[in-house]
Amino acid sequence: MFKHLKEKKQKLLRFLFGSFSFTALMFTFQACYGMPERTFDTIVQGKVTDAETSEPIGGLQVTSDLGFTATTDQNGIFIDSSEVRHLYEYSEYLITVTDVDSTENGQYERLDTVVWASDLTQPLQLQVKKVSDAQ
Amino acid sequence: MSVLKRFLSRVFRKNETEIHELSYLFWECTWRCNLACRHCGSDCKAETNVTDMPFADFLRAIEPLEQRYPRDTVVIAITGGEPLLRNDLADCGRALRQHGFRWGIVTNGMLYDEARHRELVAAGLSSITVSLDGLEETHNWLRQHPQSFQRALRALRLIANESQLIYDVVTCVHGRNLKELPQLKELLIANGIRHWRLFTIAPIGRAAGDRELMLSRTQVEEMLQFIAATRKEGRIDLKFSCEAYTGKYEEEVRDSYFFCRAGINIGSVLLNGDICACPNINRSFRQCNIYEDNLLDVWDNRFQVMRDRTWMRCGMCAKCKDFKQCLGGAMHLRPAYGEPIRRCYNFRER
Repeated sequence: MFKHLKEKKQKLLRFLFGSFSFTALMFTFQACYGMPERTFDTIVQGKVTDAETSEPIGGLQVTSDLGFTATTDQNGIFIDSSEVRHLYEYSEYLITVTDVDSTENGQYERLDTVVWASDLTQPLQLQVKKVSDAQ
Repeated sequence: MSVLKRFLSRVFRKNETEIHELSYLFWECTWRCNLACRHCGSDCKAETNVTDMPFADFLRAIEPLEQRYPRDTVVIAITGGEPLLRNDLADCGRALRQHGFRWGIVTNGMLYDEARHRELVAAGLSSITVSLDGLEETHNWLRQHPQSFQRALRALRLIANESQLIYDVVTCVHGRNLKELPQLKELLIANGIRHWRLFTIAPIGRAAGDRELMLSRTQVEEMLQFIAATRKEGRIDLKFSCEAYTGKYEEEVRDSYFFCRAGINIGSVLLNGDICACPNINRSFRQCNIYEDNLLDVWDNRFQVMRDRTWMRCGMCAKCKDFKQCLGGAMHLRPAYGEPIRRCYNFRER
């Protein structure tokens, strides 16, 4: 438990100190006479809105093969609170949005979208369609 | 601001050392090479009686990493020798991707033609470094092969046109090519290259006894000033390598401060199965062997000699006031544990 908290704190420190002490959020990592890799440290977050009305949607579940599950709040905002992610440029990740609260905020189609790691340095803007709209 | 940034970089480095996540693993897959470069740090040869490491052995060694590190967070840097001499390179890369590892190669470009490029990209090649050590005459002299420049240039043109490949060109700077750097810069820009990295030549391997290849301190400063001026121009992303702390040039020659990550984020599996950090580090620093030990256990519990570098405070570092920032320089410049550093590039403000 304490070890896990310490690791989370260390990763957050990495994000904060790395961002402040380097000239850019993205930095190139290379070993002596190895090829370069460009990496980002980021906290994955975003907003889910109705594709037609652009209104934010709460109660949707957002998951990713990065290994997190989050739920949108009333403003449609979600955040991966599990940890700061250390991502490599040109890696692709699957983001899935699922309506899990039945018809409370209307019923929405499932969204599967693939994003680049570099897209995750900014809050994602995701749009979902109402089931009735699609039919 | 600079004082604050330096302080934060030290905190960042300390934190990284405590976490010591493996993110970059060299695989020295062969000692065979199709060139006999004058400056080779590993003294590779065209003919060698040492056989390549079977890929199955390497894969077996890295499988425990899959349990610890999420997909795409560990990069395998395939090096040698010349990795393109392995006919199974694309198969190795494809298997690495299937196991969730990114991979790349460091190559002299001799065998990197259109067909090989397509084959490797299709197998998931994510990054590549190609060496170009001067204009044609100089490059061919250093590489000791009359076609080596044209072959390297062919490789550079291919990778420059591949939009989703992370790449750079590496140049080892020595007395003969130092004055050519401005022309080399124009050549690279004209061929669409956007990322370039300069090294000096370390007195190790075949280069150890060749004084012509070593830059004087004045020449090193000239090289650093060229890097700083080129970075200000903004036409090409030029960096000094991670080989040395540069004192007053630190903020002008790289994106971030000097940080030797050997044993902190960087490991290696050498041809004979030895586990170490960057392959150019003296092999007396080896930490166990994949044929006898679990790579993940070794990574978690060994490498103290690289994670606690207080022992490096010896020789010219003993009384240096910049030690806390430089931490004794790069691991590959230490001939053995307890030995002083071979060279220092710390240029102080006058």
